[in-house]
Amino acid sequence: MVAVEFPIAYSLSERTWWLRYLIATGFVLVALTLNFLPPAQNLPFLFFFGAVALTARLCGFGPALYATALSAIAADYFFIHPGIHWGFSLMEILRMLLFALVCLLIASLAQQRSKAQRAAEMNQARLAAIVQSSDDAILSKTLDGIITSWNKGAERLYGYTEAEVVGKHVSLLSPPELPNDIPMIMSKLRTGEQVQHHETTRIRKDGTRLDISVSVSPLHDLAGNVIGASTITRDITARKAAEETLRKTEKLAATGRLAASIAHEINNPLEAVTNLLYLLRKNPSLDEKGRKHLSFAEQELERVTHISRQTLGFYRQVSSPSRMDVAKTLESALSVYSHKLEGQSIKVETKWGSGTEIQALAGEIRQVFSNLIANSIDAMPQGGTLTLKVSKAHNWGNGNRRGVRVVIADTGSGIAPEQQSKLFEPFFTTKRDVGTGLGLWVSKSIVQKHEGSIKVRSSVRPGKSGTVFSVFLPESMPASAAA
Amino acid sequence: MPGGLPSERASLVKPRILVVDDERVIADTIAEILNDSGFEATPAYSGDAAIKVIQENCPDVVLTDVVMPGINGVEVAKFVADTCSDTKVLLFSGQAAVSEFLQANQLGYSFECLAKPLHPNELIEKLRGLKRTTE
Repeated sequence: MVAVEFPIAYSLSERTWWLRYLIATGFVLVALTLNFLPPAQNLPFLFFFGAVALTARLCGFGPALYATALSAIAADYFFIHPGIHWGFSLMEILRMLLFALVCLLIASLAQQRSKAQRAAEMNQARLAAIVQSSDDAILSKTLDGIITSWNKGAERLYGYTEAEVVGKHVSLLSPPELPNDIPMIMSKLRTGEQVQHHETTRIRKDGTRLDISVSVSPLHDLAGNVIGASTITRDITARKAAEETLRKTEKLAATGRLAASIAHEINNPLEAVTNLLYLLRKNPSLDEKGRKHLSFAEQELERVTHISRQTLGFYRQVSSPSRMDVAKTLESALSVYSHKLEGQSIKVETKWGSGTEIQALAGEIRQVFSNLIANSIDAMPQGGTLTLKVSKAHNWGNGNRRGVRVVIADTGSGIAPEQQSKLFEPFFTTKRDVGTGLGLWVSKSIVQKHEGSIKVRSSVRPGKSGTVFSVFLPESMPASAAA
Repeated sequence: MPGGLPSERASLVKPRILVVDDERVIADTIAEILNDSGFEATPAYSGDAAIKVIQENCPDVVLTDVVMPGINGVEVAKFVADTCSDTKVLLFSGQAAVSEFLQANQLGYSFECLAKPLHPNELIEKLRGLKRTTE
């Protein structure tokens, strides 16, 4: 027997035994009384059959046997051979035996039916308990979409109680951007079709969206007509989020492998061209026009170099942390963009503090600065002001750690508030046609590797627009980070 | 592993840099740039050629590409570390070659790595920084 707690329908078999026999006695007495009615006097056992059947149905087999015996005695005493006597004729014995056999049969049949009914009730109660205890949301509805039942799982998933939804249309769970989802399901159900593992979105009572998998089965009456539907819904929000993360991870891994595979092929020619242009600049025979063309060539080469460095941020640069001057590194990174700054009429303001040395992976920190400077320049195509500040600082939020703060600010168009939260995600970009969407993600990874922090503030208000990046780098980096 | 250039020589003569790269245009242009910037740079076009130069006379700095046919840059770096105690090695590569670096580190060596493409100003600053650390 399944040990399941569920409400048991009222049944006399659960009562104490004496009460059952008392009830059996009562039934026999009633039958005896009815047998005194004129139409029944020639049929002494008539109502006693009913008493035995009722006893078997309600009280069980034992009391039914007792009722049989009591009925036989009563029938004989009052109707067949009135009065007390000890001798029985053969006919009397046969009649009594026949009565007993018929009562036995009636009791058996009644008991079987009672057992079957009790089993069906228990089964139904067990199934109801399974539905109620299920973690999945299980609900039923009519063909018109009116909710008729709602289990505890549905309450937990959607936030509505049973009282709040039974009698309402199921469309209250559907988000407004999916008006055809539920009608599609209902139209399939009307033809007797099932809907299996349909992934869609629903809306909770508090308005939050849920990714769900829903299976809907038609409910039939005894004639086989579809009269409603039963729906099992599973919350797959977590699974979807995990799949999205895996997709991004695989995308990054594939991109990383691609980047690594072309790295050597592209970087050597880039190195060669960079060097040749540098030497060409020193050529005294170059006229003004030639110098101008050379300058543009260097700018474009710097763009390619920058993109190449960003994509190669996937692999680890294996080197030891060394003592570096943050202000000098930032100044050096800035110098690479001198032509571009001049070309876009961007004014540069700098404020270099003293004592800004830290222990870090210099190449990677330089890459961070290069990314931030490049983004600021891209944000000011028509000119503006680029401000760079480096100073000693404390990170109050991280155990008052000492380090250096770098601020890189521009007066560009700014970043919209809804985009700021995604700024450091891979493949996110605010620029059209340029960039890989990886610069800030790589930069954040590098800063975090150094146990630093990077923050952004931005405004899109006309006349006061701009973006400020603030990077804190601790004095020393953890030993494990260089691996 | 010593850091920086020999202090007594740095102020008297130009620091001697050996530039090793199997791509001649890279080795030649870097050598020319460094020669114009106050260094005495010599190109070598293979790991094998680099080792022969080093055996004759230890330079102050060896700037070597990593991925080269035959003897690669890490092997050149290990040779320098074992042979010339005062010579600084800079590995210069367009890709991480992580396995070679890790292998080198597991053997107790520690080499600094510069990533290609590297702007000449950055390289010059790096080498002058090495000079400053010993003065």
